[in-house]
Amino acid sequence: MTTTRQEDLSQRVLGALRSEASVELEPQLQARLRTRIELSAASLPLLDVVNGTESKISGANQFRRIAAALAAYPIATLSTTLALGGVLGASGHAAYSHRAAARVEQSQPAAAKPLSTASAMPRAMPPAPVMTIEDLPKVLPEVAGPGEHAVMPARSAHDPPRQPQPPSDPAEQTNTAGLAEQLSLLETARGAFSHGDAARALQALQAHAQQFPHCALSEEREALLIKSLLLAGRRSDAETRLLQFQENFPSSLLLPNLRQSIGKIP
Amino acid sequence: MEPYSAAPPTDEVETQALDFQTIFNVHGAYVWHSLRRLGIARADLEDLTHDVFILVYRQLHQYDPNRPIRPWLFAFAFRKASEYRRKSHVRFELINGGGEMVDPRPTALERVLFQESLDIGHSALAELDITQRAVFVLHELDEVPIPEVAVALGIALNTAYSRLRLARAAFDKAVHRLRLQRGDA
Repeated sequence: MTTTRQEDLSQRVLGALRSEASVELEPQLQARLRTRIELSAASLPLLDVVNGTESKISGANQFRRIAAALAAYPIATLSTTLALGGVLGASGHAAYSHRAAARVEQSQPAAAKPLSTASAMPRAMPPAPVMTIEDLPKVLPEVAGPGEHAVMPARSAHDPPRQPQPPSDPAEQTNTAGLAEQLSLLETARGAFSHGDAARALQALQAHAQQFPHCALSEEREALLIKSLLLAGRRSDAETRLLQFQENFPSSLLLPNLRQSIGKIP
Repeated sequence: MEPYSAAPPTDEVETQALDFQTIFNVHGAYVWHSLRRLGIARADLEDLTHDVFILVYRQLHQYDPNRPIRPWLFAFAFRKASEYRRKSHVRFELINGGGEMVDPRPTALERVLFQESLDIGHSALAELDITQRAVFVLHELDEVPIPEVAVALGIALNTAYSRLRLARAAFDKAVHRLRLQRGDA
């Protein structure tokens, strides 16, 4: 009898746990998460190419994914992110991605179409407005330093369609190499952070700040710095940095997560 | 009679070509909940979900579309959760923050009862060894057959059954004790 009652209790609890799994994420959270993942994922092929790393994913698939990631951004999210200089590699990565996307459009017209996220969604999540690759800014924004907002150049309807550029342009190669170095330092810091090594993360972030004090990745660097300071137990430093971050990037997509981290850690 | 019935997997085998974006759209919440069930603090769920999907992105070429995708995704979540437990900053965890979920319970009473069961469930899960917990979650909550669980986690079939048996016993015991503590047994 007792055993049966115990089993019933367990079943009730298991039922609750199973039901919980059907609860969707809050749309705002899902959108933020999707943006973060897509930005990170879209930066991987660039590092692979620049570093000469042989990727196991075919080039065409990589390009298709970059195109898909960019094409599926909600316009507001993308604009905000670009305007803040928060997109990974606004100075080189986006140019590379655009070229890649354009190449895909040439070689695989069907694959370059924006993904229909709405059809893939199992539950109610409002379909986000999508922009195509052609809607992306023709000229990349100036690199913005902390506190500065890069200005998005408006794209005129009369602008001629962009032509894909060959990736062997020496000037662009230099830009890309600089971007790769920036990304590499941030990747080192992020890896160290995810392994709980705050000292190494801070070291990499400091190196990044010294080499690239006013770069397009400042927002991401500062966010990681705040988290690393927390990891290192330097709470007051983290709070000070968060205040600066709020001033410099008031509309940052990373702010909610940072505020939550600060609020949650005693 | 078995205390739990292993219903057929609800996670259908997806034979169509999957792209990364679709996987995130359809299974993002699943990964989130799996990480939660594996003991990740709410404050870290977003970062860990991000990390899992970056792993998924890198390994997508290895996915066999003839196999169900959820156990495959769960294996990444399990790997990340195992790493997470070794990190120093986990000690800063605070439970029950956030409120990021959209709770569809219709009434306040049902919400309370549901939340109480959930609290007990998560507390009971937290008492399980993570290797046992992974088998338990995949089989009992996600209703994945044990052979598929063994494949997904890269363990022997007998090991999977053994972990499941131990986990069930520990879970039942923990639930019973937690109910008693709340004066509801």
